[in-house]
Amino acid sequence: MRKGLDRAFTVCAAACAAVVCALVLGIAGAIVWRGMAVLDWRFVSRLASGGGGAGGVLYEILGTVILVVTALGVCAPLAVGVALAEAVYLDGHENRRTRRWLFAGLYAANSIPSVLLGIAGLIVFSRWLGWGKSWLAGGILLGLMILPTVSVALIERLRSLPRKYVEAATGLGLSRSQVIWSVLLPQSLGGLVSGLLLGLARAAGETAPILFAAAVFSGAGLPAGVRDSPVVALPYHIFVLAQDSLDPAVQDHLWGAAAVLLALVLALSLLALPVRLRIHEEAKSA
Amino acid sequence: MRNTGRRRLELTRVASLGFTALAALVFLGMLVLFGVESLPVWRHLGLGYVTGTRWFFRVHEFGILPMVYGTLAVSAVALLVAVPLGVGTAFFTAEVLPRRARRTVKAAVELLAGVPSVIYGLLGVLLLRDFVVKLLAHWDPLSGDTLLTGGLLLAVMIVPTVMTLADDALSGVPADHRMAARALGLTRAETALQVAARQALPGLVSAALLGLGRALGETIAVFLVIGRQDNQWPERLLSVQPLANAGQTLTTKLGGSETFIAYGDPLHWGAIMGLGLVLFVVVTAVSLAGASLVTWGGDRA
Amino acid sequence: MLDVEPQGETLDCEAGEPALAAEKLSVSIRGRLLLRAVDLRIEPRRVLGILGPSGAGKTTLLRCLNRLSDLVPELTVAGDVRLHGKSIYDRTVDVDALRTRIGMIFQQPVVFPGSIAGNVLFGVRRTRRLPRRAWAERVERALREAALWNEVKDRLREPAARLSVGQQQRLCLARVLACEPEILLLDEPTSSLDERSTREIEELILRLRERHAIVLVTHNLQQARRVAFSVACLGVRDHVGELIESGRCCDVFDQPRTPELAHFLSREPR
Repeated sequence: MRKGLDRAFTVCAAACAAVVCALVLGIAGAIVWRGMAVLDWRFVSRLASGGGGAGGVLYEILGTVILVVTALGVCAPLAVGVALAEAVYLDGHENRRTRRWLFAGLYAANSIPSVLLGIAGLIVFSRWLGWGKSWLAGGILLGLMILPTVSVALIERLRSLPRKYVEAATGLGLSRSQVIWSVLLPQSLGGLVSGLLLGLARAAGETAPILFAAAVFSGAGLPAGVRDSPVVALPYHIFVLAQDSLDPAVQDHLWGAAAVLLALVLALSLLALPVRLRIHEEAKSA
Repeated sequence: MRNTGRRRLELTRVASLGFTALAALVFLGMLVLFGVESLPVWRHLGLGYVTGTRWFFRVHEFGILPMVYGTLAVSAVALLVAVPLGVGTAFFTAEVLPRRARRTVKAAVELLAGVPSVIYGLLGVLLLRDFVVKLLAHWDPLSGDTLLTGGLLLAVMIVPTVMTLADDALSGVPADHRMAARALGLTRAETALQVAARQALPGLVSAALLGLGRALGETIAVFLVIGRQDNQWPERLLSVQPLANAGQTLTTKLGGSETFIAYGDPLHWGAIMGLGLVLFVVVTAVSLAGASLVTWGGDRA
Repeated sequence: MLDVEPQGETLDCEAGEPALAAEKLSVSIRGRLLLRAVDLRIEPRRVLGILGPSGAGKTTLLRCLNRLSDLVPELTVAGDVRLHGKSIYDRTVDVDALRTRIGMIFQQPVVFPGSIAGNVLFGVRRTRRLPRRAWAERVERALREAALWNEVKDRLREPAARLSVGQQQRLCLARVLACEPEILLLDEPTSSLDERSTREIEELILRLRERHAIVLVTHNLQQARRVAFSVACLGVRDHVGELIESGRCCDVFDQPRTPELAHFLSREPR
C-alpha cells in the first residue's frame, strides 16, 4: 500500500512535469516552425502593407526599439535611486519599518495589472498633458512598469556585496557619496544590467501599457517630437491583427511577427545570462 | 553606512530619496486616480453598481457582476488546472530529479514565463479555439471564444509562476530533514508529502496566490479568446454551460474600445474607472497576501 | 524481538556470527574512488567503533550500511553488505523496511516540527502502521530506552524544538528506537554536544548494547576506548579511504601494527 502510494506519487509528478515540458516545447516549436517559414531578411526590413497584414515589420521593430530604449532611460535612474534609498540611506535598525513599507510597496506595484497603467497613461499623458498618442508616454509607462523588478534586483545585489570594499574605502576617508559612486555602484553594475535586461525583455513584449497612449496600428513611421507622435510596435501590431485573423496569409504574417518579437525578447533575456552567471560565480567564491 | 562627514548637502542622497518619493507618489497616485475618477458612478449608482448584472452604457445602466463573474470563472479554471500541474511538476523537480536535471527543467519553464502575453493570445486564437470547440461539443458553443478558452490559456500562462515558486518553497526545506525521514524508513512519497510539503506549505499557498494575482490582472491574452460578450450572467453559477459561452472580464472590458469612447461622459467614464478600482484593490490584496505568506513562513523557520 | 514480519530470516544469532557484515565495500563518486575494499563485522550486543581522520569516508561508509547512499545518485557502491547473510543490495530487498531494522542517528539532531511525542512516533506510526491505542505505550518505552522519559514525561505535547541539543539528540534516538531496530548506526552523535551530554550518551550506548548491535563513528579515541568492543580504523592512502586496522579495541590501541595508526595514536591526548 505504501509502495503503491510511492509509485503513484512518482508517476503523477512525472506526468505533470511531462505535460509542462511538452507545453514548453510545443509553444517554442510552433512559433519557430511556423514563424521560420515567413521570416527572412525582407520580412524585417520592409514596411507593413496591405492594411497591415502583409509585407514586413520594419517600423514595428523600430517602434519597439524606441519604446525599449526610452523605458531604459526612465527606469535606470529611478531604479538606482530607489535601490540606493533602500540599501544605503534607509539602512539601519531605526529605518526598518520604512524599509518594510518600501518593500511591500514594490511588491504591490509589481502586481498592478498593466492595463491599469495604460489607462492611467491615457488620462495623464493623452488628456491632461494633451500629448495625444506619444512614444514618450509609452516609454515612460513601460519604464515605470518594470521599475519594481529592476529595483529589487539591484537592492539584492547591493546588499550582497562584501562589506570589506566599503570599509576600505571609508577607511581611506572617502565620503558616503564617493563610496557609492566609486565602490558600490560599479560593483553592482552587473546586477543593474541584468535586472534591466530582464525587465526590458518584459517591456518589449507588453501591449496593455502602450495600448491607449502610445501605439497605433498604422500610419506612423519614425516619430518626430513628443505630441501626437505615436509609434507602431510589434506587440500592438500582433494584437490588432490577431483579432481578425481568418485570412491564411495574414496568419503567416502573424507567425512571422510573433517570431520576431519572441526573438527580440529572447535576445534581451539571453544577454542577461552571462552577467547573471558571473555574479553567481563571484558569490560562490567570496 | 553613516555619513560621518560634514553636513553638506549630499546630492546623491537628495536625488535618491527624491526618486523614491516620486515612485511612491506615482503608484499611490494611480490608486487615488482611479478612486477619484470613478466617483461619479459611486455617487450615482452606489451599491447598485457592484451588484448590478446589466451593463448598457448607452442608457447609463452599469452593473459589474457579469464581469466579476467572468474574472472569477476564468481565474478559477486557470487555478484548477495550473496549481495541480505546477505543484506536481515542482514535486518532481524538487523531490525526484537530481540537481542538474532540476536546473535544466527550471530554466526551460522560466523561458515559458518570458513569453509575451500577446503571443499567448495569438496561440490561443490560432490553436486553442478549435480544440475548445471540440472539447465542449456537448454544450454547443457558438465558437471557440469562450470563458473556458480564456481560463485554459491563463492556466498555461501562470503554470511557470506557480511551478518555480512551489519548487523554491520545496527546495528550501533542509536536506537533512529529508534524510532523517528516509533513514527512518519513510518512502520518498511520504517524505515529500509529509515532511517537505508540510514545512513548505506557506510557500506553496503563496505560489498559488501569486499565480492567481497574475491571472486576475491578465488582459491581452484573455481579450483575444474570450469573445468579449457583455451581460453574460449565468442561470446556474456552478455549471459548465456558462463556460461554453463568450464572456467578459474586468480586464477585457478595460482593454476594449469602450475605454476610449467613455472619456467624454462623466458617468460612463466613472463606471469604467470603477472597474479599474475594483481590479486594483482585488489584485493588490491577493498579491500582498501571497507575499506575506512567504516572509511569515520564512521568519518562523 | 521485532513485532513485524522482517525481510529474510530472523535468527537468534550466537555471539560471533555477524548481524551485519561489509565485504570489500568500495564507493566511488563520478568515477573517483572514495573508499577502497572495506571489510566490517558488526556483531549483536557489541559496539563497533569506526575511527579515522576527517575525509577518510566514515560517514559515507556508514550510509552504505542502511543504503542511505542511494539518495545520492552520483555514488556508485561496489562490494556487498550482508544482513544476516543476505545482501541488502539485492534487487528484491525492500529498502524502506530495511531502514526500519537498521536505524541511524546523525551528527546534528534533526527535530521535526511538532511535539515531543509526535517526533517519537514519526517513523513508527507510518512504517509499522502502529494503531493509535498503542501510541502512548510506545512513546514511553522509547523515551525510557533513550533515558529521556523522566525529563519530558510531563510535557510530551510541547514542541520538541524547545529541548536542549543534548535532549534533542536523545529524542532522535528515541524516535529510532520506537521502530525497534536490530542495529543502530551512530554518526558522531556527540560531536555537537557538551561534555556532560556526551557522557550521558556514552552511558546510554553501553545500556543499548544489550539489545542492539551498534556501530559508532567517532573521531575521539577516548570515546572509542570507553565504549567500543572492537574498532575499525580508516585512513587515507593515495587519496582514498581504506581500512588500516581492525580488531578488538585493546589489541589495536595497545599494539598498533601499522605506522599510520601508531602515529595517529601518539598524537592523541592521553
